[in-house]
Parts: sequence; C-alpha cells; structure tokens
Amino acid sequence: MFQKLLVANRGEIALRVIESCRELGIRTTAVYSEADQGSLPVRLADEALCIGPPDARGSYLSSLAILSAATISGTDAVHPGYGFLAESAEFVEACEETGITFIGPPRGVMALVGDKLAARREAEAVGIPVLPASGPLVSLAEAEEAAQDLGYPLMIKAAGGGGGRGIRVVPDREKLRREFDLARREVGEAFADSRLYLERHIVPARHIEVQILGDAFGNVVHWGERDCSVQRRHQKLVEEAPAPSLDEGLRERIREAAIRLARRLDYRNAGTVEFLLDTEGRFCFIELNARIQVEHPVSEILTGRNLVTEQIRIAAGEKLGYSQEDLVFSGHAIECRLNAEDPGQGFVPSIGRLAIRNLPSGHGVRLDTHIYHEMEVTPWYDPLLAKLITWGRTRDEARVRMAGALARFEVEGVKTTRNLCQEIIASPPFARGEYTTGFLATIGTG
Amino acid sequence: MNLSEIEELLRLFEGSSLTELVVEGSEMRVTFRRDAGAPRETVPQRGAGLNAPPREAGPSASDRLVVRSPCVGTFSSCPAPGSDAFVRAGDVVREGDTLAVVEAMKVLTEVKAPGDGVVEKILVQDGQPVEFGRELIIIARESTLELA
Repeated sequence: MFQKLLVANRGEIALRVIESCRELGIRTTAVYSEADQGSLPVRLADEALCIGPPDARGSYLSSLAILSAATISGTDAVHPGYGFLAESAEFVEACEETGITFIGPPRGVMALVGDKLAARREAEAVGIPVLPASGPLVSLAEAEEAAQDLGYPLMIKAAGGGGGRGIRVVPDREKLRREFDLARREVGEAFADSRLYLERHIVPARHIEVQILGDAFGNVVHWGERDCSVQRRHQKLVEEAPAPSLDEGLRERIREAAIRLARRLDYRNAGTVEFLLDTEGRFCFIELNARIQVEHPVSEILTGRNLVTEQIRIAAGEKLGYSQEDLVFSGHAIECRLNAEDPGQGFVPSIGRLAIRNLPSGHGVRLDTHIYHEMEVTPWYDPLLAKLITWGRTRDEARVRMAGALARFEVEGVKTTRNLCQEIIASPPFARGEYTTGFLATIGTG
Repeated sequence: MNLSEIEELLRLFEGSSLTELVVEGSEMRVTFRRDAGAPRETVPQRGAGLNAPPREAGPSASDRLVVRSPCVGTFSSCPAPGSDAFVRAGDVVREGDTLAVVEAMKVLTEVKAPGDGVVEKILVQDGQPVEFGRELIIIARESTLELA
C-alpha cells in the first residue's frame, strides 16, 4: 500500500480523498492555489503545498507543478479527483515516467476512452448500440454533408472532450451553420484534440450511467446504475440510484453492456459507462468516463462501500476481493448538487462570502462539502458548494428525506441551486420517477 | 495613469478580496499582488511544513523587495552543484539579474531580481524544497542605501 498520497484537486472531492486515505492509513499531501489558502483540504491534510496562482492553468492544471510537489514531498501516488487533470492521458504518462502511481486507469485506456470516436467503435465491437454519428469533421462543408445523411436534430460533439464542453444541439441546417465554427473554437481552446463530430440528438431520453470497477487481475464488477436525467446544458443537477421506472430486464441488459465494454478494454479502476435511453426502451452508448464522478455517492450508498478507497486499493495492486454476487444493492439514494449559481440568471456563478445558518444532518442524510462559515466563494473554480445525499428503504422515503434536508441547507451570501432542487424534488414528474433530459427546462427558472 | 490614480486603485484593491489586480494602459502596466502568506495569519493551519518561514516584520517593508519563488520545486543558489553562487548577501544587483534557480522536474526556473538593490538576506538553504510564492531573498532598495 502507498505511504503518502498527493491529492491533486480541491473542494469536496479533495476532502473525500483525504478522509479515505486516513481510513487506509496513508499520509496525505494537499496541493493548493493561492485562492485556496484557507481551504479545508489544506487544513486537514497531513501537509500542504502551494503550487501556483489562482488561475488553474498555473496550479491545478499544471502537471509540472503537481509532479514537482509530489517529488519534493516524497509521495508515491496521486489521486486526481474529477475535472482538472483527471482524464489527461499526458498527465498519466508523466506520472508513470516519474514513478508515481496515478489513481485511475493506465495511460493506454485513458487515451482510448478520451477519444470519443474510438470509444464508440469499441462499444460497437461488443454489440452495444451507439447513436448514429459522423466521422471526425474539420470543416462546415463536411459537417453539412454528414448532417444530410444523418438527419436532424443533431448534436455537435468534441472527439477529445468531456464535461459537456463544445456540445451544441443543432435542430436544423441554419443552426448548424451558426454553431459549427463557434463549437470548433471553444473546443480548440479547451482540448488538444479539436476534432468535432455530429451525433443524433434523442429527445425525450433518459441519461443512465453504470458505475464500473475493475482490478489488474481481470475482475470487473458494476455498482449499479444511476439516473442523471435532471440536467441543463449537459450539466447534471439531481441524480439517483437505482434508476426509477426501468423494468428489471432492461436494467440488467444496461448493466451487462457496461461490464462487456469494461472487459473489452481491460478496464482498471473506477469508471462510468454512460448511455441514453429512449422512450421505447432502446439504449445507446454515449461515452466512458475514466474517473470518479461527482455523483458517485449514490452508488456508494446502495453498495455500502467506499469507492475512493476501492480506487486506491486497486491502484496499489490489490485484488477486488469480491464478485458481482457479493454486492447487494439496498434501498434508494438521491443526490442534489448545491452550486453557487443563480438559476434566475441563466446559472451564472455567484460569488461572495458564505454565511452558514444551518446544515442538514440526521438519519439517512449525507453532506459532502468543503464549505465553512465565512468562506469566500471565488470566481476561479467549479461552483459546486455541496452534494446533499439522502437514502431510504424506498425511493419515496429518500425523496421525503431530501425535501426536509434541502430545507435545512440554509446558506446565505451567494445564490444557490437549493430552491431549484426543492422544486424538482417536489414536482409530480420527479415524484413519479418519470422524467427525461428535457424535464429541468420545464421547471421554474431552469 | 498618474500617481493619484494609482493610489486610488491601491485603496480599491486593499478594500477588496482580490489577490491580484493587473491594470494595463497604453504606457504602463500596474500589478497589485496581495502577500501570498497574509490570509494564513487568520487561518489556523496544520501541515504546510515547507512554507512556514519566520515572517520578518522588516522595519520598513517598502524599502525592501521580497523575491518569491516562481514555482514549487527545489531551491538552488548556484547554477550547478559546487559552482559559485549567483549572488551572496551584500552583492549589488540590477533588475533582471539572476539570483537563484528553482528546479521542478528537471526544469530550471530562474529567479530574477525585481529591481535594483543590494542582497540583504537569502532566506532558504540550497536544496531546500520551496512552495510557489515562498519568500526566497530580500533585497534592500538602492534608494535607501547611503551613498559611499
């Protein structure tokens, strides 16, 4: 097992990693930018190193700064969390060359699934349906020709990107003409690979994803699926597990497809296979995210296991140690993301000093957060303040608990998504478990 | 931009929670940067073993230039092991002179003098790990020196 692990992230996920390391008896090094000097990870890690300025390009996105910090602090492993360098094949390579273990899949797998077009081909090779799509496109003329064959509505997507970046819905040719160059520019700034492709846009649909976990000995399991259909502009807001309104046969087929793909790729560590499910019960592969995801806690609650410690154990070369049959999924879990954003103003990030009046707690309530009273919310990073998770023996129990817990999330000083989450939880489609990716747009200011 | 405008900007910056403010005009560029260590004094902090320097409350900080580490890495006062140091206490330096290097993953970043003056003190040892923003060298401004 590792002696010392560097946490190459910030916020709530950095805390999750620090706390998981403590459970495993591993010492931790936090790295931080000048904007995060007073942060909880800096206070709670065994040691902390300032690695750069607030601009993430000089700190959390600088593999040089992070590996330099890892070297001088004598760490033998790096956990990337999510975002920042979590899916950078170049960073994985740099870690491997430095002799520091990257907590995640090996470089080859990372590079393959990072290429969305290559990942689609792998899924097709094991008989998993994919959405109709074009090949890589470099010009608008090519895109228009491909669109003619595919038929509208379409999505413009980035071959080398994730996190919703560059994704644009184009209902018709005119919109394609207007959006294609913009998408190319946005993608060119965000990713080294600026290739775009077109994929059929399915509405209404549900976003279903399966948590997978594989070790270095060929053992692969899934931790069940999550429904993440409550989204706006491809950013998730509410997630739950298991996915409601799926018949058991379909649920099994989706889970089994995820396992099939993981085996094909000789996948190691934690990953998420994302699918779109149409109203006819047909599902298509979208992509595989080779990292821990924000919404992982709902799967942890169903299995009663800690995904971060599992990631670290597997990276240290340990065997999974259990089979699919050993995993028992019990009850239901719901997660709400509480972001410092103003839903009334198009979800613009809201900055300010937090005043915490009350925080939710109690039986069946989990709050993953890095906030503290009078914390300054800066414009530099992801606006996530907290993830509120509730569970119950039934979905209704978890839902009622969530309504109560949200009411107790009383944080002032910035605008948050709390009220919007309350509306979602209370709405009849959510109560019935019948909602699609178009649902959030129909709620209040969403 | 005249002096009173700069003073006004400084007041605004001091009243804000910003850590850095850059104002660029056609003829000049002004950068305000908050002391990287300042907020820590209000936050109890564990760990941070490398960057807990004795914060010397110099008698008149404005007479001194504090040179900080441009990156996280290992401090070197000389170009190669065994060679002469770039500078020693008492040396006169000019803006842009190389004072030291910080090595990060075999990449050497030069530490340059931000202004003219005399090296008053080198605060870290050779081979010592340093954080981004760590105080490395104090330079006494030339204007404050007595002319011989």
